Amino acid sequence: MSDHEPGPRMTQYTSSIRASLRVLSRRERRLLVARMLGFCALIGGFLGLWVLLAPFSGVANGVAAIGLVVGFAAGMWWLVVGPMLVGWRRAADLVRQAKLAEAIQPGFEGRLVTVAERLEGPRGQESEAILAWIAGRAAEGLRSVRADAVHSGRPVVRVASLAMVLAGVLLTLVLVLPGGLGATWTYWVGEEPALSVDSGNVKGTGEYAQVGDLAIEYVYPAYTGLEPLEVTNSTGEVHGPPGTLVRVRARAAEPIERGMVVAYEDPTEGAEVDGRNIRGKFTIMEEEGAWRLDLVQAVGAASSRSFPIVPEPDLAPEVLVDSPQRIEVALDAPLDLPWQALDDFGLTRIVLLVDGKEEREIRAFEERRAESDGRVSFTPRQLGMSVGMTVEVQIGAWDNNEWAGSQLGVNQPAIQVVVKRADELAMLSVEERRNLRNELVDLLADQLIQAWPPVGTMAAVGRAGEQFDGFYRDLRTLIEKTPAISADRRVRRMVARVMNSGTEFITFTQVNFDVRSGSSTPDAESMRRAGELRSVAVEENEHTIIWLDRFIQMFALGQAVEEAQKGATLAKNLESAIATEARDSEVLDALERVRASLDRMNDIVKEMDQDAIRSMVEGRAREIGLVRESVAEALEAGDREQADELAKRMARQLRELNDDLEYQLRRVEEEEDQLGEEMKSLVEELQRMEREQRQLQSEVQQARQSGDAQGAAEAERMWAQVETLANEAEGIGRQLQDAALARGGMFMFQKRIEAGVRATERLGESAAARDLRRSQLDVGDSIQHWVRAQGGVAESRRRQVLSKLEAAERLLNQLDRESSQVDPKTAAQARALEARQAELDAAMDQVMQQASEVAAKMPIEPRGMEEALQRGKSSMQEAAEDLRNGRPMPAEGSQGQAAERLKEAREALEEAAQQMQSSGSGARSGEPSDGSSGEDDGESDGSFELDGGESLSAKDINLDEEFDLDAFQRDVLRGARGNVPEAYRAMKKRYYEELMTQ
Amino acid sequence: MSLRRAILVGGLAVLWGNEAVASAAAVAECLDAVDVPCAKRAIAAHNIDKSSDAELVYMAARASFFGGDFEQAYQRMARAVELGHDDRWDEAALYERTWRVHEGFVEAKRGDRAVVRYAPGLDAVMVEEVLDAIERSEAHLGDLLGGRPPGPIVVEIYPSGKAFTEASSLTEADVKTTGVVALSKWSRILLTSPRALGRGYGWGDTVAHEYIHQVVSHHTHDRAPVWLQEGIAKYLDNRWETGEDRFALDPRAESLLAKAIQEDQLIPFERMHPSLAKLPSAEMASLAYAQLASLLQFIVEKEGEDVLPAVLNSVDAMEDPRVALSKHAGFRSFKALEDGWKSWAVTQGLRERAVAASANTLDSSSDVDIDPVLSQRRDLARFLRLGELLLERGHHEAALIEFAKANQEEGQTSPLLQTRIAQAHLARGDRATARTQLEYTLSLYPEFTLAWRAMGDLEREMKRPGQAIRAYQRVVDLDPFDAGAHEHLITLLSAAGQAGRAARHREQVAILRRGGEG
Repeated sequence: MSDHEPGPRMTQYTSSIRASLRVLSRRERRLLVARMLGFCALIGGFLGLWVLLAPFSGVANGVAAIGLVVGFAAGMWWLVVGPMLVGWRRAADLVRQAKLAEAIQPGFEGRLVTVAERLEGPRGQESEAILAWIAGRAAEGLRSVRADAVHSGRPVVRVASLAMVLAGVLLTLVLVLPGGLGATWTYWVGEEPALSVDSGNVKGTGEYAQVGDLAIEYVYPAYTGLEPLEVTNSTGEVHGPPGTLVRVRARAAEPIERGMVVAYEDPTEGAEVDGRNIRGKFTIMEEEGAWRLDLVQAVGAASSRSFPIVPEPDLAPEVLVDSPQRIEVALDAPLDLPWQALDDFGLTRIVLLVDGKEEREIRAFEERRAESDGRVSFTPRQLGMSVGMTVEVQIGAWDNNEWAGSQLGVNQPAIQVVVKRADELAMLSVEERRNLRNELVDLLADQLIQAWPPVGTMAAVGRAGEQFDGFYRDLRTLIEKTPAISADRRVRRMVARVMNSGTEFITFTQVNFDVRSGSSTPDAESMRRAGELRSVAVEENEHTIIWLDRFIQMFALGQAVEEAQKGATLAKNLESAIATEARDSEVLDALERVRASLDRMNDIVKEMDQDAIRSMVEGRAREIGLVRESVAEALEAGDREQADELAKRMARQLRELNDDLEYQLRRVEEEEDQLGEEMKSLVEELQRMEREQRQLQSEVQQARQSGDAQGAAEAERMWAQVETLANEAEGIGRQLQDAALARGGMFMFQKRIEAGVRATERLGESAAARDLRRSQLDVGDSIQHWVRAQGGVAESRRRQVLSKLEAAERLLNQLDRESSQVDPKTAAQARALEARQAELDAAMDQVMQQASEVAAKMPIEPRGMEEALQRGKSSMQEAAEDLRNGRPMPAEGSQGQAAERLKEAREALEEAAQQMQSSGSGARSGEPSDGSSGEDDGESDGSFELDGGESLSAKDINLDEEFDLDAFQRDVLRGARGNVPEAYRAMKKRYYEELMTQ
Repeated sequence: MSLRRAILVGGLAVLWGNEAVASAAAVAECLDAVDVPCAKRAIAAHNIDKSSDAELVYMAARASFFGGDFEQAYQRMARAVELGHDDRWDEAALYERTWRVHEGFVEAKRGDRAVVRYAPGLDAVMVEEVLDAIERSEAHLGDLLGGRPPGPIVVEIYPSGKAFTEASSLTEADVKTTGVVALSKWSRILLTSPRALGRGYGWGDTVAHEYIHQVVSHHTHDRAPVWLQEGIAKYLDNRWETGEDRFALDPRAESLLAKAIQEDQLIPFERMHPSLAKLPSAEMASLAYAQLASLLQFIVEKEGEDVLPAVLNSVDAMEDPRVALSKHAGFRSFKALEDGWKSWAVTQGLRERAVAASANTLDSSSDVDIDPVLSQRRDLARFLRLGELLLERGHHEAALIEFAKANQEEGQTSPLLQTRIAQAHLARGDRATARTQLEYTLSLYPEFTLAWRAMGDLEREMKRPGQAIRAYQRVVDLDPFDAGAHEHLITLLSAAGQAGRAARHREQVAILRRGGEG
């Protein structure tokens, strides 16, 4: 083309194109800004959601806050700042705008982009004309392009819509979230937020009154002893014991004209209004409720939302008693119930309730005490009870609740108190008896296997005595550990005998066999005596073991019978259930009771040593158990007919078991009855002989006195002198004994002095009985002991004792001489009485045979009976000899001895009978048995008396002559049936009463 | 009906002209012969069931009672009394008691000859053994005596002495005095369960003994006097197990007989006829039984076993039993027989030993009750108890000292005491002395279960399984209720490869542990 005719120029078009593209660029930037704002709103909305929901998410507010910051930062960067930085710059790129325009309008065919790239002119050798033409076409096309088509506003609208929805959600949440914004604020800032009312009863204006800065002050009832408490920034909920005064303070959003606190839907009085502040109060009652503020403001009347009132009730005191559920106590013994009482606010009184009724006040409190403890010391008698009563005792505690009234709390369950006689309770338990028996068995083993007599020397015998003492160590320990041994009078007596007999032997060895005496040989008489004493110690132990063992066996039998009786009752109930067509469940209950009874029965018989009864009961129990299972199976299978049939069979088996055990008991009863008859006959015979012997003694005495009155008077004077001398010697001897004990000298000397005192005491007794032969033996014995005591006591005092004893010996020798110088008439009278003495001697042979036969049948040995009879017979023979020789005085003494021995034999028999009864009483489920148990023996302090002087003897528990041995024997085991016949009870009571009056 | 019985019945009918009497006599005849099926046939033949005659109804009651239908027996008896029967023996009460005792009893049978009735429960442990004893007795004794009685042999096991007493018509005092534990009566054998005696007894021999009574009663129509019956039964009852003659007087009987021969204190047989009840003391009665058993031994050894059925036939033919016995024994008179026996007895080397009479105390409560010496000497029993307590606590030496105190230097030996002494020796490791002690005890008291038990323990400890099995077997033979002995047997028999026997004991232990067969 030539210069003179130029075409259109490119710049004519490029300026319009540039302007159009810049329009597009601006639009895009505007839209970008709008969208970023939308995103900001969205981010704010989401963060708001987080703020509202985080308190309910369980996330700690610190963590939530971090989440909040991170969310904000990330959201802003990714959604706002980042896109803004990129988009803003890109929006300025006109080529890009051209491309976007071409993208929506394909007709440009690249012209617009080409031009946009060359807005500053052609590149290189490009033809401007052609470019102008292209630009012309592009500009033409560009006029038809709409900016909103290139950069749509829809994304912005979408973001804005989303932001709007989110705002709605936020608003809804603020309205419905529990605790409202206050709770959210509390969560985020960790403090009580100022309250803003968001719900509640709408009054007046139809809106909730907006209150905040809520403060609650509690003023507790005085009886609680609690200090007032103020809670600022309270949530409004109140807690406290009924009677608590609650003071409320709040601030409203608008000034308050009038206002009040409404609690339990009742307006309260005394609200004070001051500008936007209001104060009011109410009292917490027993029931739950709510409170609120009713306000009248410029905008109208409104109520705050309601706040809960939660009462915390004052509970009744709790009482604890440390006692078994059932106790047995003597009428005059304290109940001894340790108690502890606790209350949440305070106690006023502690009381004792008997059968639910308040009987006595135990303690009262002047000042508030939340807890207290003590021990009940009332005796049943003080509480108006009597022996045989069973009552329910409770300790009660009254609290100090002045608001609702004092409340009583008692220990549960009540303690069942059974009032018994003291002697009934002073019984060793079966378990303790078993322990004691076993300890005695171990002692017996030691005693039996000890080498006796020891070889050779006195020292060896002395050491054997010391060793023997060691055998009792464990027994002594057991006695110390088991107070009931001392408390149970009968057991104490039996064990005392075991201990005392051992002490006798030990003492004898220490007195007579000096451990320092080296190789000197003991004399035969001392060895014989030591052997005798040792045997007595062993026999006493054996005797006590048998006695305890019998009790244990009979107790188990009694228990078994009692359980079998219960089984028989269960059988009856079972049959009754079948007869009345009881429900299956009732039959099953009955079966369960049978099972429990059989289990108990098996437990009881395990303790039995009577193999035959044990295996019989165990076998029967297994048989019954098998049928019981079959009954249950039949019931389960729905075969009621079969079940009934089997149940009847089981009931019969239960009855048979009871019958068989009853039969066993009856057999023992019958044997005891028969034995009782024989014992009764023997006792009567012994009594008869004793009477006759004393009568004969009296006649001999009369003969002597009437024949030579002067001589008799002189003899009596001398006897009185002997008696006085013996008593004086004994008195000095006791002082020496006390002094030796106080000084704590050698054990050997203490024992020698003790033996001397006892021998002197015996002399006094023999002299009092005017028994010449015995007195002469005793004075010799006594002198011998005091001679041996040399070196262990004050010598001058010992000589005083010896001097008196020697004087007594001289008098006795004189009496002996004079007794042989009897006038002929008296001597003849004495000889005339010899035949009667010989008759008694012959009768003694028969009674000894009878006694031997009875003893062979007795389960408890009549200790000393046969020995006493043997000695009695010797005395009778001596008396007969003296009478034959015309010497009434020594005959009198021997006759007295014979009578005493007969009495001893009778007492031994009666005592054994009593022991049989007491050991048989085990079958009475712990009931005491014999009469003496009710007797006050003066040892009620429960101390265990070892041989401090006279050892316990048969006379301590002597039965009176009216004692019905027959009845006792008959009833020995009848009581084992559980129900003691009324007649028996009456008999026993009478017997006890008679003993008590002795 | 035999010719003789027909004559008897016919004669009675003619004599009294009373058909009812004849009918009653026919039933009575059957029952005397221990022939219950015969009695039932007679009842049917005479239409007694529908009779209103008191005596006929009474006979029907008896037949029911013999047959073991106790409820029917009681009802018939009650009706008979209503109709005017004079119940002078108080049988109605007996029938009722027996009915009550048998309530719930069950029956086990083996074939059609052996029946055992028992109370369900522990007694099941011995049922198989009792059936076995019946079968063996039938096999070894029935034919020996001339044939088995008709009808099944019924053994009733009574679980306690009380139940036995109620069903036996004996009083408690009778049972206590005589120590009887079984009876053959009313065509039944009434047997006390061994568990009622604490440590059991030789019930197997007892079943055989009572079976012999049944056979003798059957063959003699119950005409054999007690002394003859007891002589035969005592002599033969040892044969039931194998048929082998193992007769030997028990130590107590031997001792009594030896003493009587030595002191010339034998009881004239004439004094035993017709009844032993006339003898003045229990000890004389025991001597009489010993003499009779020895007499039968003498006759059989002299003339052979066939003499026994021959004597029974003669007695059934109403010959004097003394005459019948002497005739078949080859003597001209009973006196000559007696003299011949005396001469023979002196040569038998009988020994007098310190054996006490057994104390078969039913429903005893302790081991002392079953001891023949200590049950009479409670004073000595005290030392025994002390020894037992010492033994329990491990004081063996001391226990022996106490046992020594209980041991009488003179007098009879206590098997319980001797057993305890052996146990004390065993406990202190002196097995030899323990064995000697037990052997001595068992030589005197071969049925003292506790001694066998201790012997079993000793043999087991000495690792002699054969002897231990023998001892424990003896224990369970006497006392099948000793679960411990059964358990030892299971172990020992299993180890010895006798699985079959062990299995039976296992079954028995299961019964004992469960309380019955389940």
